[in-house]
Amino acid sequence: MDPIDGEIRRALAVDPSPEFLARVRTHIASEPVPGRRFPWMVVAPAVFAMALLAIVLIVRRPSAPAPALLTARFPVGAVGTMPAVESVYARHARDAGTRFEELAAPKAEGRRREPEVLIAADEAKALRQLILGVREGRIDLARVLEATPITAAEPAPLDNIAIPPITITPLAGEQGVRQ
Amino acid sequence: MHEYTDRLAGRLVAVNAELEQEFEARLVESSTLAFRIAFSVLRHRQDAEEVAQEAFVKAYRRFSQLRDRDRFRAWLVRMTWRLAIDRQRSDRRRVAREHDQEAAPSPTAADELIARERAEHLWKAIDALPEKLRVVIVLANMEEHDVADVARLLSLPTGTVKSRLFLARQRLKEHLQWTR
Repeated sequence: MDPIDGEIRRALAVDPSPEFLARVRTHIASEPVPGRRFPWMVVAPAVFAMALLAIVLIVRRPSAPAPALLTARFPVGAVGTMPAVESVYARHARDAGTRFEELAAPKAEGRRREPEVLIAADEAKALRQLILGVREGRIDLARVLEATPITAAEPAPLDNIAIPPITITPLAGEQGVRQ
Repeated sequence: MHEYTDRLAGRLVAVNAELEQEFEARLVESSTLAFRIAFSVLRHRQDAEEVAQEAFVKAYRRFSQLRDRDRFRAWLVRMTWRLAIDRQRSDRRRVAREHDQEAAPSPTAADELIARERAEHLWKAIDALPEKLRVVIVLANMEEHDVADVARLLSLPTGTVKSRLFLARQRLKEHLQWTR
């Protein structure tokens, strides 16, 4: 052995006090027990997958139906212009060799983002009952219209309107003259 | 369901007891090592005990990752050394250092004085070494460590440890001859 090593060994031959181990044990007793932890390699992908699933569910969740939506509640046949629009789409789709649903789907997506027209639930119900009553012949609108004829207010004859001539009075004094 | 939770709780208690038993074994086995490493830097018994205790507490918190014996000892050596160096740097104002009191008792006051002076010279020489040489020479002279042990503790190649030991001894000899 090198003499220098002998000197270092003697210098390092120091032992801790007998209370040292007891102090360490006491200190460690106040620490929480070191349990097995889930490795991050397992936890991280699981958390990521959960977050992704939550985002997908939130994005794809359908909006809550309004009490009475004009577009959803009214039967298509009740609106006079809808069948014509449908037939135009159908014809274009047939000409282009594509299905009607494929062509109409983007339009429907686009419409969904527009603000919806809302009608009060009781008004919508009354309107539906009226249309149904007319269809089934329970309600005769012709008699109703005859009973209350549309009367427009008669406009006044143009000859009776008196328009006074426009007169411009000259300015008094020298106001407005440039110096 | 209750049976399952009871079994799970029982298993957790068993695992914790097992971990604590293992840690206790490591503590008994490595307490002197940690203390001496801290003492070699600080040369103050109380400070060295505090630093070693701090290292053990940190080791306990991470014990689930340090159950392997070699891994534990290597981690403990590095952590204790680092904590001791930090303590030394933050405690530069300390003047009185405790020197080697555990050496063989000297028969006379004169012999004791000579031994103290020699130890003081030696520690000054060790302190003057670069840190990477210092830790190698200290570990090599502790607990009958051979080169392979030191290499394992410091995660260094054996050749690097040998060359650092050679350099450290050479510089210590030069320093001690110069100061004597």
